[in-house]
Amino acid sequence: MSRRLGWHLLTALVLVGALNCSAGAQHGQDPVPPASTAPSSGANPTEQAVTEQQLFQEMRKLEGRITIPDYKAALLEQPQGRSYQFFHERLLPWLMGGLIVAMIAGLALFFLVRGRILTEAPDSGIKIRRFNVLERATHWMTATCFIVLALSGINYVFGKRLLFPLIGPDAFAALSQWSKFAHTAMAWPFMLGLLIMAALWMRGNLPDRHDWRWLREFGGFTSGTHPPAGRFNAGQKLIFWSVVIFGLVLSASGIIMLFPFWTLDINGMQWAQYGHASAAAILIAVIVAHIYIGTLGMAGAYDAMGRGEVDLTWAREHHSLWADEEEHRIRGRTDLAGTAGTPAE
Amino acid sequence: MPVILASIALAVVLAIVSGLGLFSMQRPVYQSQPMQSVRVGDPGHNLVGPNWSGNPSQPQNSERALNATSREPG
Repeated sequence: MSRRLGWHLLTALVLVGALNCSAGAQHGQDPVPPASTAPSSGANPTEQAVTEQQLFQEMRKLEGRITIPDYKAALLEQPQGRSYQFFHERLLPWLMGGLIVAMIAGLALFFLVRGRILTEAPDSGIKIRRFNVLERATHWMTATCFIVLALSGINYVFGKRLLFPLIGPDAFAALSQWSKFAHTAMAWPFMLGLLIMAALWMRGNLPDRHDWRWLREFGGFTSGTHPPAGRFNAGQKLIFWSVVIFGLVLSASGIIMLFPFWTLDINGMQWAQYGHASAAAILIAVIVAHIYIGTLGMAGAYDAMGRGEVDLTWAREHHSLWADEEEHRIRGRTDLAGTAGTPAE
Repeated sequence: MPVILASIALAVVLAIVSGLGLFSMQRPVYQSQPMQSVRVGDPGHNLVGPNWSGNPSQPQNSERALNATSREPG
């Protein structure tokens, strides 16, 4: 029994050896000699050589030597570059497009539910000054710049995806070139207008004790009444501070990008782009809401910035505290004029 | 409406002025980063030169200089 088992084992070993030899021959390889009989070739010369991946992990970037004066071109790879590419090519279009579309959809839904906000009482026919010429001029100058900046900025993100297939390479190249000129040129009057607006309206937009009620009642939408408000209600204050804060972020990051590599390296430039694009996406969505409420959303709102005057009824319903102040001021002035006009006895 | 139109005009004027200011600060690459070992470092004698119009059919300074050199009796 044990002899038969021994024969079977020997036969199996021979067969396995034959199969190994034939497999090596099939792949065009010589049978590997046993380790003990292999000739020694010394150390593998590339065994300890550093790989690109190791360099990248250790140094976090790959740099070389170049002969052109632009030293930045020596930087071949940097880990932040991949994050930037992901942001610019994948995240940003969804972020910007999602915010704008969500805002438009929300406003459309609001309009369907609430309709146009009208004054409950009929117009009084008495007009009071809401914004003076300087305020309106600053607003419209900044608004003009912002629209051009927003459209040309959107072209940076969506142009190659939406416009390019429609109008072709030549028209898209010309449009993008002029958009770029407009973007860099219009940025300066925008920044000027932003600073003037901040100086003109900052005091009136400081938070006060009525803001919380206005926000809680969503401007009267949930309560069905008009919550008291001064010259600017809490909604307008939110828009104002959004414009100031995100406008300043856009201005600072825009100046950094207008003078590239002046103070920052490639990673700093990428961060400027993160800030600029994110602030732009948020501000465009905010301004869409501002344009809606200033035109279609509320009757009489356009007159405030268009003509500079509003009806007293509109002022009483939407800005009751400010309307009271204005009435007192006008009455005082009239009384003063009446007293001055009374001849002395 | 006059205020709106005036504001738009003001925005355009300020944009043009600031744009011209920005463009005047920019220099062509052969001026801002000149190199001896690269042919654009001497634009007067090779390549397109400083007065390049972008029209390839129009002879440039460099071509004129080259033609004049080739016409000289040798």
